[in-house]
Amino acid sequence: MSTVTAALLCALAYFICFGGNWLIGQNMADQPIVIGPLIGFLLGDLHTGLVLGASLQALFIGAVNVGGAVSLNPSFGTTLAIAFAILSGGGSKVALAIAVPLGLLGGLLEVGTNILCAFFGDAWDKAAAEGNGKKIISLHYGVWFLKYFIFAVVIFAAVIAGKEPVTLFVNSLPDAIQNGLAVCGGLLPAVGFAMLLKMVWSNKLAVFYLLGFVLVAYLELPLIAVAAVGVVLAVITGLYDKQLLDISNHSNRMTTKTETPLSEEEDFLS
Amino acid sequence: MIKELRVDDRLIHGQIALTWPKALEVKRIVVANDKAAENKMQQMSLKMAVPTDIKVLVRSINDAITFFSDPKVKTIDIMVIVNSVADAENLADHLEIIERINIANVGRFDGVENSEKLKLNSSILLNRTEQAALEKLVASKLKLVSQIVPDSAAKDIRELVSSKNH
Amino acid sequence: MSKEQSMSTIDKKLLKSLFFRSFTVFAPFNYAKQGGSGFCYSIMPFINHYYKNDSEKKTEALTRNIVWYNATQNVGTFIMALVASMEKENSQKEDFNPDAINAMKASLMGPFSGIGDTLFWGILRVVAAGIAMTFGAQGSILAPFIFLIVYNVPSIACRWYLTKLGFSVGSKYIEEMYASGLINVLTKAASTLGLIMLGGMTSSLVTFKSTLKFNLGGDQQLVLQDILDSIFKGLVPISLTLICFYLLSKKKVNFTVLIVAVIVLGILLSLLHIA
Repeated sequence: MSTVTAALLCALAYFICFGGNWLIGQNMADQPIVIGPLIGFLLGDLHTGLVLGASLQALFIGAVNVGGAVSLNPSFGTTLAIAFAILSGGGSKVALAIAVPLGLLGGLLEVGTNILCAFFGDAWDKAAAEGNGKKIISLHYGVWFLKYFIFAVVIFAAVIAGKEPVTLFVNSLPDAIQNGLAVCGGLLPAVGFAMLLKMVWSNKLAVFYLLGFVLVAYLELPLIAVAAVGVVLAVITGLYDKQLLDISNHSNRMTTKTETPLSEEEDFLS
Repeated sequence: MIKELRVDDRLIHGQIALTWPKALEVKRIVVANDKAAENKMQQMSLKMAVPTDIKVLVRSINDAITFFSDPKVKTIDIMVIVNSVADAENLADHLEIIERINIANVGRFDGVENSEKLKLNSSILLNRTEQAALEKLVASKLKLVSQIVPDSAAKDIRELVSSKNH
Repeated sequence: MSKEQSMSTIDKKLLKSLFFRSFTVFAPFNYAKQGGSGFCYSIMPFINHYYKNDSEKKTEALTRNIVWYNATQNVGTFIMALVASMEKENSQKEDFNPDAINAMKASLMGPFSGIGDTLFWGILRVVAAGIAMTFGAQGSILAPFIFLIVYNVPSIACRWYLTKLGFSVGSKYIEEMYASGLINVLTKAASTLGLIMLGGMTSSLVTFKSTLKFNLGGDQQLVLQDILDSIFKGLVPISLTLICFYLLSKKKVNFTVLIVAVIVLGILLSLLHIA
């Protein structure tokens, strides 16, 4: 396969997964575990795509794109890292070393396109003021296409321009650094999980985190079993809480008093 | 003390609920907004947005002014949120316990055409009424900043305004 | 809570159209509108139908709904459908104040995103990834499919359920659900599942193995990793994760800074021959 063909395939896969993710209900097709195997398949090495997709999913698990605050673009890092790993023959060593820095670059590009596409804001306002629904719709899809087409072009150019230098760069790294990057591959998911913990942490529930950890560290359960245990416990505690809630709602109803605005203010200050 | 009077057109949302109370070290938020004070449903959803250890009080602008004139309130640290510069100016005019005013997000969906607005930055869009209110605030001695999240730098509103005028 | 009113056939059809259009809400995401164009596009079937005889009101409705919008899309359909029902009311009642529409929208976006991001990004996506990664690591072609199914089936079901709910029961439902405390019970149960899964994934996916050995003379060797394991299996991964969590949430350290710091740490550990 020529480099140009490979670059075209990568750009296409990226457009479908990343653009498609946003076109169709944020279906998560841009997550490494999906886009990784697709890139692997297109470049003729499905197995590498699957295995690297899974490890990069761990690296990027904490890249939560919440409230429009972008820092990492996992699909950008994954596409290029796996493409370079397969094309240069460097395997997982290459992918793990470059995925995160490329993901950060992809995040910058995303901020850039978000700013660029903001120039269409006024066009939408104008279309609405004219009562022109059709124009709103064509802009809606047009800007979508433009945005992800830009990404695809960048991917195409990056694969062509980057293949040689990336191979050279990775081969020229001293062993200690290469080993260091492998160590990083094992440690970096910690940052991701920390990010996710920030979203779901509550002091009262923190013991469940320890439980999940021990289930794997000591009992060596596979994650699918951990998920099952989690569902069971969530249902049990949920039903129990629901019962408590019903009881307290019931007893509240027995002793209802009308709340005066004053008492609400007092409660606020107490 | 009012640790911060924030102007945000979404009132309470994720960023506010999760980051600002921690950064300001407050456990109480007052939402001063006439429409929200009348709308029970909106009050519910505002209260739903914050963690359980934070208390929320939703009052109309006038009721909020009455509430803050209670001497008891002066000893407690509170964050106040309004959704327009005009409301902020009204509060600042009546209350003297405001440490700073943070104009974060405003005018993004007030229904006025964007071309008729003064754009201080991407999240501050001011229609005529709002511009007049801001001028009054700028003329006062209050500390005026614009800071969306605690992690970002606080920009001086007076500098933003004067850079727009040149 | 079953206050669902019977819906007319035309409303059902319009609502289906809203549901399908809602998938594209963030397609042209940008800093000016975020999901504004998608919001307008999604409820356009209602606007076109209910204002078809009044072009002035139709223009007003379009202008009202093209404004900045952002809410987690799997739950945002509730807001869309609620706004659609309010637009319908506005078209039929003379005394309806259309200002209420954007006020309602603005007040719901924040709370819905707060819960939606945690449930879908923080929990469902992580559970799906955790299950699928086991297959992926073994090179099984099932991995991407399992991930997409485990994530999307509940996510699409929720999207449709909330579309119907927003239109038919509207504001009363949220009020009751909140007043009864049911939302807290639901988020607590989901967080329980999320934390267990995160614990398991920390253990299996954050890996560290020290290569440091001391020769104590003869065939006696002191292996650092064995000592660490004898204290607590996975001591380094869980400690590092909790330190990062502390830095992110209490010390407000930036996510990107933390990533760079961990990369530096990994290389240092390697240069010092500890790992």
